[in-house]
Amino acid sequence: MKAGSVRKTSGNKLTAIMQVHNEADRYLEQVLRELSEFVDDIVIVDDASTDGTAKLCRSFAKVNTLVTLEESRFHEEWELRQFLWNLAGLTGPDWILSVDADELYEAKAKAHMRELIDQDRYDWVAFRFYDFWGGTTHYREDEHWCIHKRHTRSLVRYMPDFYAFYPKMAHHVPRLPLSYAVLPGFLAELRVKHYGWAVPKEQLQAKYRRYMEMDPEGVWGSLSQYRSILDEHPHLIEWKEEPT
Amino acid sequence: MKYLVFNPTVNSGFPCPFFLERLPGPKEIIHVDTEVLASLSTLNAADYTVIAASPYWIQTVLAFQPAAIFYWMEKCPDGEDTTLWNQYAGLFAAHSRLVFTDSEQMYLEQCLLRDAVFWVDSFPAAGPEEMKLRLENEQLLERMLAAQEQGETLEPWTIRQWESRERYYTDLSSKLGPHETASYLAASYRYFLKRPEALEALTVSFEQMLLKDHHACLHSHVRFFSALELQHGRLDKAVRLFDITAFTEEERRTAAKLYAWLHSGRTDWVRAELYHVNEDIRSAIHVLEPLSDPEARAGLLPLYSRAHRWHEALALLDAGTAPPDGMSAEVLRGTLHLIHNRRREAIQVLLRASIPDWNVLSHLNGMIALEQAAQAIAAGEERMA
Repeated sequence: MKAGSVRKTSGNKLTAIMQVHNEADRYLEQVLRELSEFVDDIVIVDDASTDGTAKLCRSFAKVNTLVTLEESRFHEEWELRQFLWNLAGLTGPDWILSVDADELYEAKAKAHMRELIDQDRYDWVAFRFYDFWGGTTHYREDEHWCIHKRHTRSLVRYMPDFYAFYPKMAHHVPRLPLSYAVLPGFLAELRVKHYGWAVPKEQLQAKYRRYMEMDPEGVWGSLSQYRSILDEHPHLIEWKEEPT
Repeated sequence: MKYLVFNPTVNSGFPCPFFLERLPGPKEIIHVDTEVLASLSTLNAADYTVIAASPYWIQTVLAFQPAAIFYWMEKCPDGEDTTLWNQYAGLFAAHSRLVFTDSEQMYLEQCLLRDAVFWVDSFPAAGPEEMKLRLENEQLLERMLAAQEQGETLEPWTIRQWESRERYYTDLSSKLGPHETASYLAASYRYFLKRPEALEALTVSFEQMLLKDHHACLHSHVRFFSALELQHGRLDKAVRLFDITAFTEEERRTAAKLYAWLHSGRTDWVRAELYHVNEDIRSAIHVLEPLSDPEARAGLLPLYSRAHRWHEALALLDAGTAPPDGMSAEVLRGTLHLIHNRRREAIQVLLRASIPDWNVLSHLNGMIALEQAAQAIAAGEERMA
C-alpha cells in the first residue's frame, strides 16, 4: 500500500449496496445471508416497501445503513441510484458491490473477491450474469436472454473525488456510475446467478404486464424482449456449479 | 513599419492574405523572393518586422536579426518530416514576439506553451452572427498588432481573445444543448481565464462523452478536472484526481512525488508538477521561475525544453544544473548555433559531443535535413501535397 494513494493493495473495505422494494418473500434473505459471508458492510435503500423488507434487512448485522423511503422513487430510477451511491459514500467504502435483491455470487466468485479488490491495477470488475428461468436450476439462453455472453460491471473502487455520473433516465439506469467506463477494469470469468426470472409462470406473466405498463412504447427497453417473457418453450440450460 | 514576409516558399503566397491586410499602417510589405533574399544583407534589419510562415526559414530570419518576428504556425504538411517541422516550428515560435495560427487546435496547444499567441479567423463567415464574430476578431487582431508596435504588453489582448472564444462556445453550447466538444472548448477558455465555471462546462462535456460511449477521456477530462482543482487552490483534491489517472510506472512515481511534496508543504512544487503533467507548460514555468532554489532550476529544464526555450535551458545547464535524462547541453548548443546560421560552430559542437556519445551524430543528420529543407523553400520548391 502506498501512502496517500487513492488505491490500496490490502485492507480494502468492501461495501455492498442494494435498492429493494417488497422483497421479503423472494430471495432477499438468501442474498443478504450470502453477502454477509464476504462483504464488510451492506447499505440499503428501501424504496417504500410495504411488506417486511425493512425488518428483514435490519436482522442482518452487516446492514449498517438502511434508509426507507416513504414514497417510491422507482419512476425516477436515476435519482434512486444516485441517492444510494451517495449514501454508501458516507460509510467510507473502498470498493462498492452493486447487488440486486435477487442476485447471488457463485461460490468461486465469493472466494476470489478479496483478490479482486486488493490490487491497484484496475478500478472495476465485471462478472457474467445468468438469468435463471422458472426456477433455480436452469438459466435461459436465446436471442433476447444472453446477458451472460458479455460482462456486467458490478464492482467498483470507490474514489470520492471521482465524478460519479448516472444518466438522468427513468428506467434501466446503469447500476453503477457510467464514469467508471473511462477507468481500467477487469473482466472476471466469474458468475452471478440472477433469480429475478426464477419464478413460476404466473409471476412471469405479471412481470410482463408490469413492464408493458411501465414502458408500453419500448422507450427504455426492447418490446420484443418484453414479449419473449411469455415464450412457451424458452431455451434453458442446466446450471453447473464450478469448484472454488 | 516595414514587413518582410517569408512565405512557405519564395514562389508561394502567404497562407492568410487577410492577416497581412490587418497589419497597422502605414506599412510596406515585401514578399521575400530570390532577389530580396540575395540582397537581405544590405537591408537595415532594425527597420523590419519579419513574418515567417515556414519553420525552414529559421536560419535566414534569425541571422537577419529583425526588430521583431511574427511566426505564422501551421500544421506539418503531408509528406514533410513531422519531427523536423515541429522542432523548428517550436524553436521559431520561441524566438518570436507573436505567434499566429488559423488552426484553433494549434492555438490552444500554443496557449499552453507560451504567451502572445493569437488565433486568426480565416474561414469565410457563413452568416450575420459569424460575420459579427469575424469583425470582432479582426478588431482584436488590429489592436493587438498596434499594441505590439507601440511596445505595449500583449496580455490584455490575449485575454480579450480568450473571452471572445469563451463567449462563442458558451453561445454555441446553449444553441446545441449539451455537447461534448463545444462544452470542452468553453471549459478550456474558462480555464485560461481562471474562471471557476470551467468546472461546470467540463462536467457537461464529460457526461456527453460517457453518454456517447467515448471512453478514452481519462487524460482529456479527468486530468483536466485535476487542473481545474489546482487552479482554484484545492491542491489535495487535484493530486488525488491526478492519481486516479496514474497507471504507468512513471505516472505512479509522479503521484508518489506529488503526495510527498504535499505532505511536506512544498505547494509550489505540487502546483508546477501538476501543471506540467496537465500539459500546461506556460503555467508551470510561471510557478517555478520566481523560485531561486537549485531544485526549481532543475524543474525548469524540461519545461524550457518542451516550450523550445532552449537558450534559457542551456543557460541553466551551463550554470551547473544537471540535465534530465535524454537532454544534452551540447545538442542544445549545437542546434542553437545552427538556427542562428552559425554552421561551423554547430558542426564543431556536435562532433565534439559525439565522441563520448555517438548518438549525437544523429543530430548532424537533422542538421542536414534542415539545411536541405531551407534550400528547397529558398529555391521555391513547393512542399509535397
